[in-house]
Amino acid sequence: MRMHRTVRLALATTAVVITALSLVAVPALAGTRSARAPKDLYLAADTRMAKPATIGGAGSTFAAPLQNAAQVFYQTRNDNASFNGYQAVGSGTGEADVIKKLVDWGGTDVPMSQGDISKNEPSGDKYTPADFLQVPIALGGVAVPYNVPGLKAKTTLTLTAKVLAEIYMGDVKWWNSDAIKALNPKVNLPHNKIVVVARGDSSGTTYIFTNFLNAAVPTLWTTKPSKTALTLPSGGIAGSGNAGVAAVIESTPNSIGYVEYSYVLLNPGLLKGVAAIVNREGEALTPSAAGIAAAAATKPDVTATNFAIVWMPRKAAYPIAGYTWAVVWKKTQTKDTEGTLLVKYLDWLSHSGAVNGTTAGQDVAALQGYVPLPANIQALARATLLGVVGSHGQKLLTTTIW
Amino acid sequence: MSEVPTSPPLAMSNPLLTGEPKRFSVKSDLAHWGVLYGASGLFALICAVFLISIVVSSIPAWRHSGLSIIYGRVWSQGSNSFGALPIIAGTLATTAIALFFAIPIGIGAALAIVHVLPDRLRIVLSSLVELLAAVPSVVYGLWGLLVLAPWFENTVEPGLARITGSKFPFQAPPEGVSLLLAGCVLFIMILPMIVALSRDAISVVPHEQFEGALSVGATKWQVVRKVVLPGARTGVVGAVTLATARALGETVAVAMVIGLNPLFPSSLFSTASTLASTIALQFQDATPLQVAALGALALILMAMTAIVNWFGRRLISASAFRAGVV
Amino acid sequence: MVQRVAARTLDRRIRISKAMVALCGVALVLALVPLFAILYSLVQKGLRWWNLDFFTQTPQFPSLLDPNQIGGISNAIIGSLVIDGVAALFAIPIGVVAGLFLAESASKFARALRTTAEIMTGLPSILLGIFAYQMIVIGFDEWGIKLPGIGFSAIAGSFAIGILMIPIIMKAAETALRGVPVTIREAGLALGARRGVIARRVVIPTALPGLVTAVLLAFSRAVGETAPILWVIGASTVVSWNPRKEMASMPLQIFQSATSPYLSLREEAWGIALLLVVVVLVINLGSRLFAAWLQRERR
Repeated sequence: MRMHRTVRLALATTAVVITALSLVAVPALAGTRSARAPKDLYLAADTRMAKPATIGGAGSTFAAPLQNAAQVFYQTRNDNASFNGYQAVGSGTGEADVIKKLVDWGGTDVPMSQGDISKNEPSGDKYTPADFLQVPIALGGVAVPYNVPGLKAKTTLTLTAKVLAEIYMGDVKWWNSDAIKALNPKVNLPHNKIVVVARGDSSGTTYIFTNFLNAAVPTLWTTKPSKTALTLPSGGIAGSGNAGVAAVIESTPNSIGYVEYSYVLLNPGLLKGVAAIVNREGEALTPSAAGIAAAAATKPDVTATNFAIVWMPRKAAYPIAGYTWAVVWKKTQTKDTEGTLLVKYLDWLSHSGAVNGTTAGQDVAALQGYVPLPANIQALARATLLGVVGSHGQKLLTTTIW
Repeated sequence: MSEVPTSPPLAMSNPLLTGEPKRFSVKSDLAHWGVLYGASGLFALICAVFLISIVVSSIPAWRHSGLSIIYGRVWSQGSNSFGALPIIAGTLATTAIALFFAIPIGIGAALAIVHVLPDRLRIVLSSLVELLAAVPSVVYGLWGLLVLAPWFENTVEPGLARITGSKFPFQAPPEGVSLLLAGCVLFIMILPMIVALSRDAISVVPHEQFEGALSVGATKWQVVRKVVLPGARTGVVGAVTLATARALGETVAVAMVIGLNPLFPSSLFSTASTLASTIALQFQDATPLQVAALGALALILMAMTAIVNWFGRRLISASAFRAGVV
Repeated sequence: MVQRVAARTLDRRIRISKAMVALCGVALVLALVPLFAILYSLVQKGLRWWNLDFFTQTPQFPSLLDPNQIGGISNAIIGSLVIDGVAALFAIPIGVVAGLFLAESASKFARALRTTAEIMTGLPSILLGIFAYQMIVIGFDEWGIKLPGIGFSAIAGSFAIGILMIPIIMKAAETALRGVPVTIREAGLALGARRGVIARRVVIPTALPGLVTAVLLAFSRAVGETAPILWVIGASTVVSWNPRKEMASMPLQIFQSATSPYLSLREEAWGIALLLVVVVLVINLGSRLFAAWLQRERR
């Protein structure tokens, strides 16, 4: 059947456009497998999976640099394991997603309480914290970077919890206010209005920061610590995720905010100005691996209800440190293969490989600016993961090598 | 955009061709109309479910806060109070800024394209403008955030503050991301739309009228003022209302450059928030009541855009009718 | 009398006219400047990211040891294809058939449908994202109807984008179908053909060029949309063709890279933006050239 000429030309044009689009896609097709690392050099054999599985997590931006790097590391060395990209949407959304069974684990800096569960569960369901297990997966600190133009290079401002609370409440408005000048007598502070930056989304980092303020100056900062976005003083800017806050501070003069420590290391521009916070012993410390480790060492018995390590009474302890957690269902909600991958991955993630010369998650974490979990916390993670059961009630984490 | 003139009126007057399903003479006609009504019905069903779901999801918020959602001034998840007046103000302010620049520049550019440029340039430039109207909004957001914001913060806003002596509305310290920046990004986004649609409306005014006016001794500008613009008025107004609807609902580009602070903006340089960008930022980790409140915001936004759209389309079709195309 | 006033004011009127013409020219230049600035930024900052790795590798994440190791965006390219492809798969038939309905029926339902389509094209696309999230990702569990949610998936994104495309295709298809001269239809009726056969064998093939243009324009709009897929497609770092899985997408990747903490990813966003703009412009240009050629043919 002879087709009308215009019909033929119409189909020809469509074919051309589709071909053009495919030309873009074909090279992408060619690269469906990303670079493969040599097998077995860095991961012990039993972390491998017998059958293919895909899992995904969402939540805390505090843990995002770690999750991004660790997942790529793990899946390039593990043929049957693959991950959906970690969605760095903030602790609150992470908890909501795992309760709604949209992801396999939720990343949060604050272990889930009954209140969090009731807030997010689909109507008609009644879950309790006993339905979940909370696994500590990383240890980091909250840095307070600032961007004050005109300061001499390598000047570090010293700030106390009291001044920070006043800044965030809007009581201290200028960089050269008496409160700040008293702490930094030798620094020539400009007469500029402070631009306060905070998280606009539900954030575990906000929880750690407000927990610090509430613990250090409870009479001044009276609101209980929570993940909810802070009310900004006028002129303040809300950032989305730790990355958003870091980007805002870096590009906005006269700003100050709080971000997880590894974001300071990833954003060289922020390194210019990170505040030294006065800790409980009266020392002014900038965030560092040693300071965070010292804070963690003060509380060896961490549980899901007693987890805060801010404002610790110990010399050289950085005052704003915190753990970040992965929340999983006690009884796996997907197939057993996926549940097995989940516990194997989290077990690998929460340990360091020093014991038998392999590379494990905490070694990757150290490369991203976190502090490796202390040995007893690694043990806590292991003990918690042993509680995950599959569809027949069987333990899913069967081989442990460290 | 310059379509071949068709003859629907003629077809519509003939009952055999209007497609009124007066009788199904053969089974195949039933199949034909079945398929047609099936697809249309499916689409209508999707739209209905969509509208109902937005309305229903927002009911808890209306029940909780009543109309204070519209005039309340505090939007806070923690204290469960949801007053969207600052957000509505931010939406109207950014759109107003965008229109303030886009209307004169857009109409002027359209006039230049139709009446000032030689033929070949006219075709090239009008195609260029239409192509640029297709650039995705996320690209405008990217450019606004990484290129325009630093420029605003270092040059434009301090300059404006210096010129006006930091009087309202230029008094807050320049931060880059701001109401002004969002308004300017929106202006750049709706400009190609206004130019293209105005150009259509202006070029529809018959050339004989233009030349006739010139022949009695009017200058070019007088003809434009007295003949072209009044003739194209409904079309141009329609273009503007369509662009307004787009500006009101723009989400991604605005979210990237406005600072997302749900406080009442005190100056052009302060951060603010719009209806669409607030929904985008807060939807994922909202408490159930907050989800309902965001649904209420969506309803307010839908009402605003629907009214503006309906107005715009009516004016555009009236203009085309008057110009003798239909 | 009028002629005397006219003569007296001639000089002033000519000066005003020249000034206004100049102003219009200035407006035109002002209108083009920001647009050229954007294109310039795109090419200057984006072109250097276009290498083989960019198109064939999946993303890696920078570490403190190697802050520049970022891999490529092959997962986003394929993801966009899958999401928009599936969306087109169900939006095109529904849109064209509904457009045919609008062109052939003058009933009240048709008029209402036309208005609905016009309202839907002007709607902020983020509302469709909310709809997709509540219907597909979470699932529907009210009033006795229970639809299980699929969770984050490419299908949810296709759903939102498909609903976006349908009214655009409907309206343009209606215009294209009405453009078929009524004489052709009358000839079909005169030969005794049934209405359905006329539509399939005569009207649609004649209007096919216009329909193709309509579909391509709707597709180019869909490719660039970010808001409807913001929370519904999850994220993915590997290439996958399975619509039930989570997926990446080019416009979403631009948004996420531009606001990410890694400096090299922020700069890579320009490369992705350039690619997206090129794809959209190619589709647009192609469809417009085709429409222009078609007009010349028809005459």
